[in-house]
Amino acid sequence: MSKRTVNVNVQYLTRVEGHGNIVVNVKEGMLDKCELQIVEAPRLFEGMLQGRSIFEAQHITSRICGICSCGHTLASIQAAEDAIGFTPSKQTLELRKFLLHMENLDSHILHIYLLVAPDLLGVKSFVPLIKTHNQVVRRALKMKKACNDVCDILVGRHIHPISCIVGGFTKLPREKDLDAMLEILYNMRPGMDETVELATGLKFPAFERETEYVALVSDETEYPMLYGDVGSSDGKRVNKNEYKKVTNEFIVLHSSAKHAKWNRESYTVGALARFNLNAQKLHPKAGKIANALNMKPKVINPYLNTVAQLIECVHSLEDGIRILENFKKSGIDYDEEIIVGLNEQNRIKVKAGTGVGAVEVPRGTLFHSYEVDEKGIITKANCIIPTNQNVNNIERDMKKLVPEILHKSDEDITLGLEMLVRAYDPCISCSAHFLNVKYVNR
Amino acid sequence: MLTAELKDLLTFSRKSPLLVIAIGNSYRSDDGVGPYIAQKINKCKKNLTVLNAEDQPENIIDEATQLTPGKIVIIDAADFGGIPGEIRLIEKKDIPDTSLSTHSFSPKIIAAIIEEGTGADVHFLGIQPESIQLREGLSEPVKKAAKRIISCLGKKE
Repeated sequence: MSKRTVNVNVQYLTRVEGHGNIVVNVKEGMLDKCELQIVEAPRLFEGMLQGRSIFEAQHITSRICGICSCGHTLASIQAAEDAIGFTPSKQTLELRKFLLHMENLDSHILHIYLLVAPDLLGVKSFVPLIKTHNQVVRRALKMKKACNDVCDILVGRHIHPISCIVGGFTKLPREKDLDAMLEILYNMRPGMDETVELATGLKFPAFERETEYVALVSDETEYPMLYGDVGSSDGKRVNKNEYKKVTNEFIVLHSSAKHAKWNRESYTVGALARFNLNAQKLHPKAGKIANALNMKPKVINPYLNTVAQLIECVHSLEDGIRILENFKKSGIDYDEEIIVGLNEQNRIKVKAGTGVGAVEVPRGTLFHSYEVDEKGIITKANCIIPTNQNVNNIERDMKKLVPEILHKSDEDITLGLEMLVRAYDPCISCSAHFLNVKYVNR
Repeated sequence: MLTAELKDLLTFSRKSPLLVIAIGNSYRSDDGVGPYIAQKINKCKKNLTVLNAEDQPENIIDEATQLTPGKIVIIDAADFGGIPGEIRLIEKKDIPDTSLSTHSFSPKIIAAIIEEGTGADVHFLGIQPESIQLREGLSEPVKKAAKRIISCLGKKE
């Protein structure tokens, strides 16, 4: 190893959501410090949920994130329904899966085009691409808009759903809505083909580290996104209610995001984890793309999370179309439309209990857990965000990567580290949840 | 900004069609001035197109570039240290390169994409807000400013 001394201090890392610093010190070839410092203030959403009804919780938690607002909505609803023992209908579940697909697609497209592609094309941000690759930038934004428009039709807003609630949907899509959504998605197909073509020409850094991959798993044939057990590439599988056995959160001094570990020193969630655990269940078109891109589980290069996201884009688009086409054939049962409000009319039977929501969102497995009293009021809440679960693993990657690239210039070492963190698509401000506040009556 | 200057900026003709892009969040008091103006303008006028981008300006890029306008004016609340309701033409160099994340886009970036796609000049018309707190409705001085702009473009019947 080179006997160099290197100090990397990136404050703040760009092209990620929120504020995080990369601090690496190498003294005479020995790695002295290697940290991904999460410096965002805690969000305190769990505290805000206490004392609120389960029937309004999803509107509160959707505000945790502007990108994963549908995912938080669905994890929240699932936790609430689990707590009171409510089983949603098959139609409701299919529409929720479709909603997740649209959010996944939207988030991945933005990450691939605007946050990762600039690195691979050798520019500082996507701004220079406006001049050199104007059509490409516009294609990305057009695809993002398409996803937003579909969400608007389905749940009443581009982001932060209104009609998706505990018990089902307050408004179900009419025939014309199904047609409009399908038209938008059919029109997305050429853009998706071009996206795949573009990606085949991109070269990702060669770096590998064995780690544990964690995602939802199930015995069903479909790629699990909305429900399932929590599975690991190390062969472990637990019921979602035992999520704490998976996350084992702990605090480190340099991060306001808790770290997590399961069977090893760290684990990772996200598109690559899902791909590694469930690739055989992808939509056939996505499976073909994976083969063409030479992606075969188990992929242990974290930079290729972006490629896994691309494969998932194809999956979400095609499976989304499949769901809508099925509804076109079978029709929608509008008797399932429900207006619950805060359940003043007791339309949904409520009982005290504890429930867990575990949903795959763009950056990985999202957990919401609520304790609910007999009136449906939340007495305790816990939200564990994918980026929380990834931060520890990112640091471990950084520690392996630095010695391997120590022969490079300081600038290239910094870029390599920045690209590594960006590959995980971290949502840093969502991840800051570390404070345990104990109120004492004075 | 003088009314004559404002009229000059907001003029439109067959030779130079005008595209107005309104940006803002109506749940944040005076930040909603852009969408407020967009809702009140008579959109049936020839050579004038109004796009209400609200808080997601990136979503109107494709529509904007397909319109091939001669001139584009982006209307948004802007804190330039003026008195509430003051209207000012903001130079691009004075708009900060705000941090870019998956959660937000700078209007400057949006303008650059549209400019590149259309070749049209993009102007930023800023209105000094009194408040951008979470609340619906505009303050009186900002509403007055909005009415000045609406009168230049033509009020909805």
